[in-house]
Amino acid sequence: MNYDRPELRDRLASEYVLGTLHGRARTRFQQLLKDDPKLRAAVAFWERELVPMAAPLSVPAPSAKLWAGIARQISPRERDAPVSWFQRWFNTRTFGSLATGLFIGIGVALVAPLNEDTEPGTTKAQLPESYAGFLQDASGTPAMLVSSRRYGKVVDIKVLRPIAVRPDQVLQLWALPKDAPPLALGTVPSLGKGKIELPATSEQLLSEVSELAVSVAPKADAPSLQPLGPFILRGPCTKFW
Amino acid sequence: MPAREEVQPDIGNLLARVALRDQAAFKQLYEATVRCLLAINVRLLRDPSWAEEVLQEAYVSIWHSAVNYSPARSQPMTWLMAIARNKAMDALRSTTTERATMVRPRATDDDDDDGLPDAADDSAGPMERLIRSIDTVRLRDCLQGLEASQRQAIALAFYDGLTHAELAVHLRQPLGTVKAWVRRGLEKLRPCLQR
Repeated sequence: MNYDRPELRDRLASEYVLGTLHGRARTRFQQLLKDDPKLRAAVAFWERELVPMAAPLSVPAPSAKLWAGIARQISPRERDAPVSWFQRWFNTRTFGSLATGLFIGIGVALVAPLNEDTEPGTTKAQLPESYAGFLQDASGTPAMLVSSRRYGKVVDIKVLRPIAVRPDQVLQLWALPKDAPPLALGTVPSLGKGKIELPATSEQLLSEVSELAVSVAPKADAPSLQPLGPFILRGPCTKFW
Repeated sequence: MPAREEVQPDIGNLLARVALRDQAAFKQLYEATVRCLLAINVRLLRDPSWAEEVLQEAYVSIWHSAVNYSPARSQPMTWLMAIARNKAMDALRSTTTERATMVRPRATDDDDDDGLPDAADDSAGPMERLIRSIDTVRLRDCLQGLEASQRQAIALAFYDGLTHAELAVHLRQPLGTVKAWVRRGLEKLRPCLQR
């Protein structure tokens, strides 16, 4: 068959989409589709025009097995596969509906003002902070902004809404690397602004970290090396640049 | 009637996030669309558990190929429905599976005599609203321009997945006749759809 004739291409494409192409003819057609862009375009036309008609009137509910089967086939390895920094922001409910450009604008605008408290000897014209994380509480409300310049050893903390802490308690900030136990970064205030001095640069400590979290701990002389309670705040740690 | 208006999910937005491997978005996409896709597959495959098996493959395919979806080329729901239909058709049209070669009784439903479903009713749920948002006005008009026999043959093939041979049996016509009805019906549809 000469598949170069447009009428034949169109007829086959329409019957393929309709469903009347049967057995070997269907399989053969699917093979042809792989290498023939004109054929694909013909199929695209018929799919665009006919398929909307398939929308049903009454819709049954699926069994629970259906999702279970799908989830099983999407392997855990795939779920945890590295995703772009852009995607991490879409995960947070707060920002899910914002357009990308608008979102990056807000993110950078919120991060940049923290440069006001610059370290001595530096000028105000600094590059914006590289690492930033919005930590949310259990209800999804952003409660804390944590940010740091890439080659700096200082982490800036800005508390976005006051966090309830008893007088005999402190808040601890943790870096959560993907395949390692939480890394203690230091204590953070429960309102206003604060700073943490890191033992190494942000780039060294945070480049492999995907999440930050805050837990509550009793006041003590030395900070604990493991979280002493559940994480009350949590959020992605994103490297902007 | 639901007590409050449920927010209709933005399928295109969810698809974009699925392309980035966002599993939460994928689950949301599934919940927003599964009943629609399942209805399509059940109508084609008859057996609800077979329909679910095939739909499982469809959703896994959606997970893997969301990265290839382009809003410029098709509407999100159309893209999803096409994947579900293609999987169902693959299952039906395979000459090797026993299920595909079983004679399937045609389900009775509320269709018109010409086999086309009625236009959507006024149910207010989010699934129904999503379905109603799929624009088929021009297609329905163009179908009205066909002869009744052509329209019926096309509808039976499309919705119920009847092969030419099954059409011949169902409509009590020679094989050549039903093939010609389908072919001429599609030939007539094209210029109308392109207007």
